[in-house]
Amino acid sequence: MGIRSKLLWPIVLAFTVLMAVIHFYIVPQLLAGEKEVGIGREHQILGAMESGVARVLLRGDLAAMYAILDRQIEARQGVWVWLELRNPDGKRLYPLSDHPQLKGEFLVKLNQPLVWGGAKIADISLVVDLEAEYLNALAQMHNIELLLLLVLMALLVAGLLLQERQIRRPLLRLEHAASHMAGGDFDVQLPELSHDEIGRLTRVFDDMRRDLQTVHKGLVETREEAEKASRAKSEFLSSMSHELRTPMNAILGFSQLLEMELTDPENKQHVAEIMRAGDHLLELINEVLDLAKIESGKVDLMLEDISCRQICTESLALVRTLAKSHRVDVSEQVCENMEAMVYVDFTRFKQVLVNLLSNAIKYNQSGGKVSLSCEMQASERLRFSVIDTGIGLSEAQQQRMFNPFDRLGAEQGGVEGTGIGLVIAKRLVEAMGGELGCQSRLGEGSTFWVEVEVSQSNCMGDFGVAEEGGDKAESAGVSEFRKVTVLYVEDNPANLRLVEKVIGLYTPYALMSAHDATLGIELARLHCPDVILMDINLPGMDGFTAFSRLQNFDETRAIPVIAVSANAMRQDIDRGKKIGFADYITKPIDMNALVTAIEKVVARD
Amino acid sequence: MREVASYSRYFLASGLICLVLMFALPGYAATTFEASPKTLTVGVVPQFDIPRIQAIWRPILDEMEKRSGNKFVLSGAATIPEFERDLIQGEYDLAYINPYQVVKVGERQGYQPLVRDVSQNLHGIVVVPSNSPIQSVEQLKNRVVAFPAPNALGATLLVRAGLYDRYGFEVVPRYVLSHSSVYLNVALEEVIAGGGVQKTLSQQPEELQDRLRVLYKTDSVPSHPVVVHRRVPVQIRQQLLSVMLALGQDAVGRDLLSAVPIVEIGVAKVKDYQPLTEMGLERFQ
Repeated sequence: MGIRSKLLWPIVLAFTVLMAVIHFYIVPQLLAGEKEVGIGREHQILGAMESGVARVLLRGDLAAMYAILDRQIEARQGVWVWLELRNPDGKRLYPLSDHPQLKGEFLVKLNQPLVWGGAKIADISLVVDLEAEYLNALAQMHNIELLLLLVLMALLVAGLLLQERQIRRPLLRLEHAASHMAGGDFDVQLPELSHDEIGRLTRVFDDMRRDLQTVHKGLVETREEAEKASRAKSEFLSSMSHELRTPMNAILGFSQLLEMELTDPENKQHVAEIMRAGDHLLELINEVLDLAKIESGKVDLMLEDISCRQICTESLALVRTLAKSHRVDVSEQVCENMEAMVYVDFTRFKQVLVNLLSNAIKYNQSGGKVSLSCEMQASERLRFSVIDTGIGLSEAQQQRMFNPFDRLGAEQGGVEGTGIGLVIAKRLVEAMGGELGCQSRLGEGSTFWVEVEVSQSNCMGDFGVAEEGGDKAESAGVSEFRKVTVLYVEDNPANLRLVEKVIGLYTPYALMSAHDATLGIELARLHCPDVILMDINLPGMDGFTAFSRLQNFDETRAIPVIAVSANAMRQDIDRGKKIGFADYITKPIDMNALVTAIEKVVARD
Repeated sequence: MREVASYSRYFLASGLICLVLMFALPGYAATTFEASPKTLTVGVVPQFDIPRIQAIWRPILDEMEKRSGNKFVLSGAATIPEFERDLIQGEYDLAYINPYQVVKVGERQGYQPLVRDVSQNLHGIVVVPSNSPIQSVEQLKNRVVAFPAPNALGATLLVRAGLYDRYGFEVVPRYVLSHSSVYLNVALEEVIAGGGVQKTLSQQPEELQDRLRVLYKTDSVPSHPVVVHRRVPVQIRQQLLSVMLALGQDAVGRDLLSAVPIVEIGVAKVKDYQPLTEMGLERFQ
């Protein structure tokens, strides 16, 4: 109900009640009062006449009495309809004629004894007709009522108009202004300033508008700046990702070649150091970029239902080599919840578990133990626990544990690390709606745990393939090669040379290469290779376009294409897989991974 | 010397002028008085209230002023005793009085009858309620009878004198101030009978007249005269007589006089009223 209705109905109701009270109570009361007054007045007139009548009556001057009474009746013509005077014996002395038949609603009979010197000398009875007076009074009352009604109506209309002008219109304008301001338009007209509450509201509203406008302007500017900064950061990240990885690709690749070619153990050792440092630098770069992405909220998670067993098996497979090198015994405590499904991003969750497991291995003592177990919590969440028999963490260390780049004093030791792995792990788990925590006692080891939501659907995932993949990755170097043709489209000569060497030395595959996409497509159409390795960042036509061109030709459509790119960003990989690349290898190229990928594709054929 | 002679001439001339003036002015004044219209004071016996008397007589006097050239000032007393006192003191030049007043004070004060209604004489009546068992006037002996006033000629004096002189009895008078009151008292049986005159009875409402019966009628006397004081010059008296008689000669005058009421105006003589003196009405006052 609008403000107008809220005002109108109570006023109309009040006026109606007022008019009803006036019409049904006050007017009848006043009319009754009028009647009383009329009767009183007639009594008074009668009383004023009394002594004159008594005097002439006592003198026997009936004619004078008749004259007085006749005159009085004439004077009260229409009101005094009958007057008679009787002596105490009841004999009528006035008038001579008999009582006529009197009719009327408003006839009132008044009796007045005529007393002289203490003795009653006659009785006067008077019949007055107050009809004319009553009707007159009634007409007057009705006129007053009508006038009052008109005045009330006028007041009502005036009040409504005033309300419309003084309250409703300014409020509507304020509402209109507020809705415009909500849409970011501050240049709206406000009601005129008045000296009442609406005026004060308008003033306050105006102040608020000014403040909001300032704040809004500041916010817009800040947002634009932040967006600009964010864009710059993304570009920087993307650029750094590419720029840092490309040289690393060459460093690590040629180090691998050099290691294979060298025979002198000392030199071999030096090259191994270069490779180890390079790996560490690459890991550092990856993690810094990862953290930066997570911090800026740009991490893309693909949540899906994954079985607990698959996660555990794959994670353990990835750290087994590390455990072996640290002489740490890793065991998987199989529990009843192994078949449970969790709703997580598989790769990222695996990254978390691997991080926890590698920490547990790296910071363990030689001959120590690390175990991975999972159990269902009362809160319907599955908890993965990584338990180690390491040195443990003090209370103070536990508090600093999730600070980026804080390695809790480990930088003094021989263990390599960036100090941000755990931070990334924690942020990732939280982004997946889970929780990461730790219980530890100095000297007794630590338990790092991750809790995540259990999947709603309880179907079992197929984890056999991944397990196989893991095994194959392990045995990549000793796989049996078959004679197949590989086409490598790459503009960077260093990368091209590296891959040529690896394929030539360690695989039975025949390699052909093209330095841009156009040539690559032509070669593919001519020779129909078994596999195409496609760099993404090519001059002119990029790898994605080249891929879609290949899809247009019948002879090349079925050839599996593996993307090879320094764009290690998640969205790049997802995009690549989405449009149909058979695999996505990031630079710097891990030769084992490359060979495995080629082998997998060939085997699929 | 020239100056002294001249002064003496002026003195003589002035003295002559003064002498002439001394004799001429009174003569002039006297002739003016005789020739100019006279202003006369008029009195009317208050049978009715003053407004009614004014309503009846002022038009008559106005007509007479028009016809005679005289001025008439209508001066009235509210009650009959006051009027009689004024009459005794000779206040009025012209007066309409009742016949008894003519014999009682008129002659003594030098009032002479001028005109009267010659068509009817005045006589008293006795009325009883129309349903009264009283059939004979003797039944009223020593009973209370209503009369207007002790001095009312027709209604009181003539009736009482008649009853006493003819039937030899008295009644107990009860004075109720007016003729109308007498009739009402009788009709309402406040008294068994009342004295009145035929003229006033006929003026009562039909309803009242129907409830009354005339039981007795007295001998008649001449009706009310207009009298004039002797101090009014003869010519004017003559003029007044002729003007008033002339009123009876035309429709306008007759109409005016009928209100008094005078049906037929005629000359009134002192001897017309002589029998009243012989009736000894003062016995009943």
